[in-house]
Amino acid sequence: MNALFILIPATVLLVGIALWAFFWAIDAGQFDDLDTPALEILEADGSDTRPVDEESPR
Amino acid sequence: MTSETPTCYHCASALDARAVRAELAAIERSFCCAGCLAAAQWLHEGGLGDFYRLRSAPSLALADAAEPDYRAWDSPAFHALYVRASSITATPDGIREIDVALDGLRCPACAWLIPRLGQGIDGVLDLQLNTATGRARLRWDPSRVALSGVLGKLAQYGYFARVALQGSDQQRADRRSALKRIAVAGIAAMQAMMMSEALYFGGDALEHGTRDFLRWMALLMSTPVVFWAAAGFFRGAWLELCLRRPGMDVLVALSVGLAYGTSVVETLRGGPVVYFDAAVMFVFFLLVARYIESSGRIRAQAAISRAQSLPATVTRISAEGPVEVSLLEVGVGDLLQVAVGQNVPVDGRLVHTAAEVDERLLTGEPRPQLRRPGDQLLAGSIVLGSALHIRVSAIGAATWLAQLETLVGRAQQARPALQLRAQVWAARFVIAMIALAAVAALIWWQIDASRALPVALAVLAAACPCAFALAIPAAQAAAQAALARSGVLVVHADALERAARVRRVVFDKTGTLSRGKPQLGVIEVFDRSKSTDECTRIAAALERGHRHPLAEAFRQHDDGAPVEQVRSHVGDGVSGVLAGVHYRLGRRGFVEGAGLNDDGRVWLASAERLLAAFELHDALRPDAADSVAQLMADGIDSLVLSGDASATVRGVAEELSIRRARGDLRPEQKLALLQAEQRSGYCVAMVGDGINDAPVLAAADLAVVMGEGAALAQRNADILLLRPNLILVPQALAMARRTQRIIRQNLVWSLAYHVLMLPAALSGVMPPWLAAVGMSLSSLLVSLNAARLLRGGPADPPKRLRASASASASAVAVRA
Repeated sequence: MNALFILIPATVLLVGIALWAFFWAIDAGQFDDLDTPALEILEADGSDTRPVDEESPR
Repeated sequence: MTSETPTCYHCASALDARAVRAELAAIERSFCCAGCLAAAQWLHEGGLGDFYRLRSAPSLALADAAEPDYRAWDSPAFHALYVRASSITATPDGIREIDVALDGLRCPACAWLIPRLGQGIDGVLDLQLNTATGRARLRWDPSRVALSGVLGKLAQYGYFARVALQGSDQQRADRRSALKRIAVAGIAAMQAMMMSEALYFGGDALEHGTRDFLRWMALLMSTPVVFWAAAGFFRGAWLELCLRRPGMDVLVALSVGLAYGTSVVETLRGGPVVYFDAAVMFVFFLLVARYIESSGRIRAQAAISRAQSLPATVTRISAEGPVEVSLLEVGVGDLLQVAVGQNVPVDGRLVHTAAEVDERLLTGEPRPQLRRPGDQLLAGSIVLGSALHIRVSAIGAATWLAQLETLVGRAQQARPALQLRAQVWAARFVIAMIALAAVAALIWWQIDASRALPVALAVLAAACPCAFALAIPAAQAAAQAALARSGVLVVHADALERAARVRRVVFDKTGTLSRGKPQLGVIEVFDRSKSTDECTRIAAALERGHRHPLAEAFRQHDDGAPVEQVRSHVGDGVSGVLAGVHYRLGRRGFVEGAGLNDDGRVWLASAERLLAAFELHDALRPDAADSVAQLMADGIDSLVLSGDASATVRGVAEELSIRRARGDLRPEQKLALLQAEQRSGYCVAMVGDGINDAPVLAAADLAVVMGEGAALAQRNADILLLRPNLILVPQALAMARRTQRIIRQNLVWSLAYHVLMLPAALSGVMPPWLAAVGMSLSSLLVSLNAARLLRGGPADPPKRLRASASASASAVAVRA
């Protein structure tokens, strides 16, 4: 059982680090808008090379 | 896709004679106007052609209205109030930042486009948009580009900026804080759960040292959860106790506090069992459920506040002449000039000349109102005829319009009666459950003292009426959000409940089924010596300068022939002298002689003889037929009760296959017919557009008011349609029925849950942690069930697209 006496405080430490990181992310505004970033993956490299090939889009 | 009627590539509105064709990326496309073409070309040249693939709703039509004037946004006074230095520290000095609310956002593609539009403007550092709230944060270099230049550019593409009022910062802070509390509660709950598992399954085999160590660690984990993450529940409980209305916060606080408190005591004295897990799991699930509920509410509020408009600039007359200033700089006593077609921005007294104004937004009265010098003008009225001068008597929150908006806001805050009843029941239920838990603890104390506390805790957790309390508000908030998104504002708290029961819809013909913009139909000429064309031109000349809807029909035929001695005869028509001949134009009785019945046509006569009769017909709204058919399919009968001529009403009713239609009705007759429907047991909705129907609207079970633009001042309305789309009526009613169904499901589920859980808790079969999990999952289930209302539009998308495209053309338009 001695392992517990080291592992559990280590877990508590990790929890502390995880929470600190999460708090930082929240304060940095990473969770303020969860809708817009979903579209960023659709960006190409900034230039539109693909032709739009339908008369009426979607 | 090309098989249907041709539509504009940019805004998807139907093409007419003005349509232009142009080649875009080597494919020929059609556009409804040059503005849309320019917008599409710019997008393609800027490499932003993807917009058309990404969007899910057509863009705003760029038509004829004036481009908004943002010059006042450059004034120092405006900057002092709304603009601040950039909040990002790494940027050079001089960079400014502002939050604006954007109108015209239609789909995620707009969120994709707007930052790119920003990149295309020299001097803009970045332009970030939050699609959830419709607010954008602009950072720019004032030495390179003026704020008005940036916003003007956005306006060209159909995105209109308004000053973002406070509240967004507060909401963001609340959201961040809620997320942090969830994170702490969630992670700590998992840790505490693991340690509790070890304690439960280890049982007596654990050495006391290990057991106490695990308990102390669980205590360490739970303490921030109880004292920080759950602080809101304790505050809420205190508030509820102060108000003497115990609600679910009392139960939550009691069970969390009891579980945590006893566990601390047990840990300290090395007692048999601890319940840290129950306490923290409870807090975690509840926080998640509340977070989901409040994000739904915030979305709803954002959608609603976008519908309100804030005029930004006015023309002030000072010693040096007219100056364009921000509305914020205007004070009481200033002299303002308001141009034709503009909204009066303040309350004030008319000076110099008489003027006609349209107070439709304020009173719903569609006819122009004559105001004489010294008369009171209200903010929100629209200036007709000629520009006017006004001496400011009230600004901002003191205006009548602002006070009415407050009324509407209050109505939104008000809780529906059903919800209030549920709260009263919940309060009694809570008291009963606390008593029950105490009794159960006492009984178990006699049987097995060690199990008294776990049973009491399980009863408290199982009894918590969270799901029950959430059942109604969660569904209401989700439904209001979904409706607001499609342009329906639920003004009255009980409106949804009543809308679900509606079985009859009464339409008032003018302005509801029709566009309210009459067009010339068949023209009958009685005088052989004159051509149809001549008669029309005479009528047009006589009607020149009048702002009546009827006069509009003649406008395009006006050739500018001089006309003298024009007199307007209220309610009858006009008379005037043209090329030496005296003419009269108007109702048959006025033109041909008293006593003749009005037949709905406009008659023209010279001094000697009758010349012509013009038939004016009001075009039906494009979605009127669809709406009536949809209502029919939903088992709702449509009626037309109108004050218009019976013949006209019958024509409209036949076109829409409405069986029951009556014309020539006075308001009291409409009222009597409506009450007759109600007496035969039907719940009646009245769709109207103004104050003419006020008594009838008030008597109807559900008053639906079509307000184009910001008709928020409609006090009689239960439901406001912010866009002139009739299809919103069946959609709103269908949404109301779905909402009631969801509420019923939620109530049944939460009651069934209590019925099942309480005996289990009382008999001691269920441990407290399981009761906590079950309770939290049940409120989560209720929230998620309500969130289903947010998903999926009220109608199939193509229909809605078409409808919103035509609406946007009339609602907001800009010259590109």
